[in-house]
Amino acid sequence: MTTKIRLIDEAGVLSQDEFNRLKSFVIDHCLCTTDDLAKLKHVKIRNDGASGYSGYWTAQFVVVDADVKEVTAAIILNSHYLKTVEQMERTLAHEFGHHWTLGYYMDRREMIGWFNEPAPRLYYRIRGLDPENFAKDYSKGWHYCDKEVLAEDYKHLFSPYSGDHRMKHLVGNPIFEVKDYIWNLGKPYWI
Amino acid sequence: MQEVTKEELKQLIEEAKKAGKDTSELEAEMERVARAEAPPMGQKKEKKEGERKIVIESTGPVKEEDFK
Repeated sequence: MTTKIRLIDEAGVLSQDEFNRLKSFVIDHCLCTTDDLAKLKHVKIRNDGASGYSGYWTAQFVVVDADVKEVTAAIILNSHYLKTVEQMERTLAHEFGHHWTLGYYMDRREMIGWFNEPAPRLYYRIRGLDPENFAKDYSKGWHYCDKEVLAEDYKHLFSPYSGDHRMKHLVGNPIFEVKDYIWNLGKPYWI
Repeated sequence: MQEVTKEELKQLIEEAKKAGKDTSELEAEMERVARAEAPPMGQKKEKKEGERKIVIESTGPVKEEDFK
């Protein structure tokens, strides 16, 4: 794959070897394609202080009439909390999970406005999520947001950080049907 | 978005210590009983430019500089 991730170390915390390792992490070790990588503007390492988050995914898009265009996303890694390159990789795997899942939901027009609507019913069913307990947004807390379960599922299934699902105590680890579901999001939907 | 809970913070400190990193700031944070407020999650911002509506949605905070 020739597409590269643009990595910006604003915090200036990585050695050259660590920088090279993190820059190729998603391409070498996670599920990705040139399509989704093209929509990721960059990954920034920044010191956001004691903000309570170690990283986040954010996206910008333009709406004209009912049409959505110019979707671009960025991932921020907070070096205040992430002191080692392994910790950065683990958080990056989760954030790229948002990029994969929410990005393809947008492509497929299954979701426009990620926190206005819940993840599709099919996902709730195969993941065994109770709609009474899980929410489309953060109203019930981080662990109960369906988009966060999806991102952790991606990390568990498609990155080397598989033993670390943070909702395992609530819903167990994802089964093979969830793996197929997430994988298929990236396939052309007209096939 | 990855929320840093007390358990997560404990794990991050242990891992960083093993790697020989300075963890004093994180340990001071650990000492606090609880954070004053939850981190920003799921923020959204919209801006109209003529016919175009520019939307930023985030699993964490919305910051325009994230795209610069």
